Amino acid sequence: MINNDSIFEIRGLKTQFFTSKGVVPAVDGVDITVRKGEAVGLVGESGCGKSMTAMSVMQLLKKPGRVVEGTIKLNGEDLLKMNKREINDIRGNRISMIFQEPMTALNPVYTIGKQAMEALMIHQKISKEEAKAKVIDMFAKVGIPEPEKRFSVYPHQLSGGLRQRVMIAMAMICNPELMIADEPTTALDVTIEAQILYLMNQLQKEVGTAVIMITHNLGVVAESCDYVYVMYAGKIMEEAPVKELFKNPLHPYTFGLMNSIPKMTEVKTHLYTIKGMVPNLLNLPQGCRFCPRCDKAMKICTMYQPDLYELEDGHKVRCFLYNKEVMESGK
Amino acid sequence: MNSKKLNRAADLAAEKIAGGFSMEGTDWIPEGATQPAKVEAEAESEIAPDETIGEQIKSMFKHNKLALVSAILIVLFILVTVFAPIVAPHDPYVQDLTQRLQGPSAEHLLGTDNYGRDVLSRMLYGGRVSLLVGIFPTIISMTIGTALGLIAGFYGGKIDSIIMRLADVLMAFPSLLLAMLISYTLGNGLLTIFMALSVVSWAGTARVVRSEVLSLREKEYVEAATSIGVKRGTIIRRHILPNCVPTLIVLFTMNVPGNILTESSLSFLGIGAQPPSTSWGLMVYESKQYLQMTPVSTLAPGITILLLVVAFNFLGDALRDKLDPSLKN
Repeated sequence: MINNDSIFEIRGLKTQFFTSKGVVPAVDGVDITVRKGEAVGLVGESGCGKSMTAMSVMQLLKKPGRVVEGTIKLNGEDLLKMNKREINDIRGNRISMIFQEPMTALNPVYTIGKQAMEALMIHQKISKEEAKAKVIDMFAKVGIPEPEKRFSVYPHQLSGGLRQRVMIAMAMICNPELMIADEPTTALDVTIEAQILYLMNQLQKEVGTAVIMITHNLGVVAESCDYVYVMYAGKIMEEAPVKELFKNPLHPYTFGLMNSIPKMTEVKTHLYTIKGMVPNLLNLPQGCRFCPRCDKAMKICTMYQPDLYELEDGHKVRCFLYNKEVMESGK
Repeated sequence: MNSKKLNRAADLAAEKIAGGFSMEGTDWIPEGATQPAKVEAEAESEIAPDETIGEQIKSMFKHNKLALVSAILIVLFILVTVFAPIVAPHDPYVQDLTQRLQGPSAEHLLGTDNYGRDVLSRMLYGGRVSLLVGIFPTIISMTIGTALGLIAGFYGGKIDSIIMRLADVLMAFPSLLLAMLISYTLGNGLLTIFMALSVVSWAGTARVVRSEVLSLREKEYVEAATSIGVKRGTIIRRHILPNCVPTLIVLFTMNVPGNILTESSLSFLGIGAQPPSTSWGLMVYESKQYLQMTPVSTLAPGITILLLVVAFNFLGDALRDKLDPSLKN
C-alpha cells in the first residue's frame, strides 16, 4: 500500500459524447493513479462520470461516446494507442471488470463453468481439461459451494450473490493486474454485500491485484479502499487516502455526501440532502461545477474553475476555500 | 476564519461518521460471513430446477393439447409422405382412363382424377414436393436472413443500411410476383422454386433477427464478454446467436406454411411442380375443372394444405408463448 510503484495511470482523460444537442463532457480531465495491489475508490452521484471512466479504460464506449484526450497507461503502455488485437489481449487477462448487475452480466444460454472458461481459453494456451480444473479451483476460492456440480449450472439457477461470485471468479481467473469493479454490490442486499466485499478484499490480498472500486456508497469505500477519488460532473473534486478523507473531508461536496448518510447515533427528523441536482452536462456552470449547490460558494466560484490544490499528506481538493491566495485576498 | 469554522465542522462530521463505520481491518464482518459457502448453500436448496429448451417443449405439450395435436399431425404428414412408396395403395403415375373421375370407393379411397389416377396415392407423393418446398427453402432463406440480420444488427452503420435497404427493396415487391418472375427467368423445376422461395423470403427473417440483435448487443453479458477479451465475431456466434434461437424456431414454424402456400399458388398458376410429378397445389389446379363431378379430388389436397398450415401456425403460436423471453416472467 505504501510502495510508490504505480501500475496504472490515467492522465487528463477526456471522454465526450457527441450528441445532436451538443458535446457532453462525461469525463473531463480525470487523473487517477493506482499502485500495485492497492484498492482505489471512485465515488460520486449517478451521472458524474464514474462508469464512463471505467468504460473508457476498457474501451467499451458506445457510439456517440469517444475518448478525446488523455492517456491510460498500464505499466507504461498506453491502452488508447493500442489496436483491437492488443486491447483484446489485455481485456480479461491483465485488466478485468466486474459489472453492477450479476443478473444480466451472465449469458443465460451457457453454463457458468463454460463462461468462466472463456477467458482462460482465450488468453492462455491450455487444454479444456486444465481450464475446467482451474475454473473449479477458482469457484471454490470465491466460495461457491460444490464447485464441480455448479460448473454445469445455468445462471438463472443461481442467486444474485452466487452470480456475483461467478463474476468475480471470471474476473480473477487470469490473475489480472487490475480489476475494475463497477458498483459490484449495488444490486445485492447488505449481508451478501458484506460477504462479497470481504471476498474481494481477501482475493486482492492473496493475488496482489489492484482494484478500482466504483461506487456511490461511501460505506463500501470506507470498508474496502485504500485511497479515494470523489468525482462530480466529470471532474475529480477531492482525493485522499481513505482514512484522511473520512477524518477530514475538505470539499463542500464530499462534506455534503457524508452528511447525507443517516447515522445510528443521532435522532434526526430530516435527513440532510445536498440541495439541487447534478448539473446538466450540456449546460455546465461557468465557474466551479458544484458552485450552484454549494453552501460555501463565493463570488470567485461563479466565475473561475478551481484547480486541484494539493494540501499536506497527499490530500488534494478542487476548491477555492483551500487556495491561500484567494482566501487572503478576500472573496 | 471561514476555513477554520469549516474544519471544525468537518472534524465533528468525521467523528459522527466514524461512529457509523469502524475502519480497522475486517472485524466488522459478521461471524457467518467468514464461511460464505455455508450461507449460500442454504439458499441454494430453493433454486428452481433447470429447464432446458427440450423440457420446456415437453411441458408445453403437456399443457397445450392443440399444440400436441398439431405436432402429431405434422409428424404424421412427414412420415406418410416419406414412406409414400410403402403407404400408397396405387402407382401415382399409372393412368386408367376407364376409371377417370370417380368418387371415393373402397378401391380408391379419395377417388380418381381426370386420367384415372388414384388421388390418395398422388397426394402422398405430391406431399413430398409440398413438404420439401415448405422446409428446405425456409432453411436456406432463414440461414441467409439470420446471417445478414446478425451482421446488420451488430455492426450497424453503413453495413446495416445497405443490408436493410436491400431487404426493403425485396419486401416492396409482392413476394408471389417476384417468385413468379424468378421461376419464369430460370425455367420451371423444383430447384428453381427452391431458389425463388429462398431469395424472396430472407428479408423478413433478416428484419426480425436484426431487431433482436439490436437489443441483445446492449445486454450486459455482451459487454462482459467484450471485457474479457472475446473477439467480435465470436461474440456474435457464441453470445448473440444462441439467444436468437427461440425466435428462430418460432419464425421457422411460421415461414414453413408460408412457403407451402406460395408453392401451392405457383403450382396452381402452372409454374411450380410440373406434371406428371405433382404437388398439392398442382392437384387443386388440375382438378378444379371437375369440381362439380368429383369434389373430393379438389377438396382433399386443399384441405390437407389447410390442415398442415394451420397445424404449423398453432405449433408456432404455442412455441412462441413458451420460448419468447419477452413473455417470460
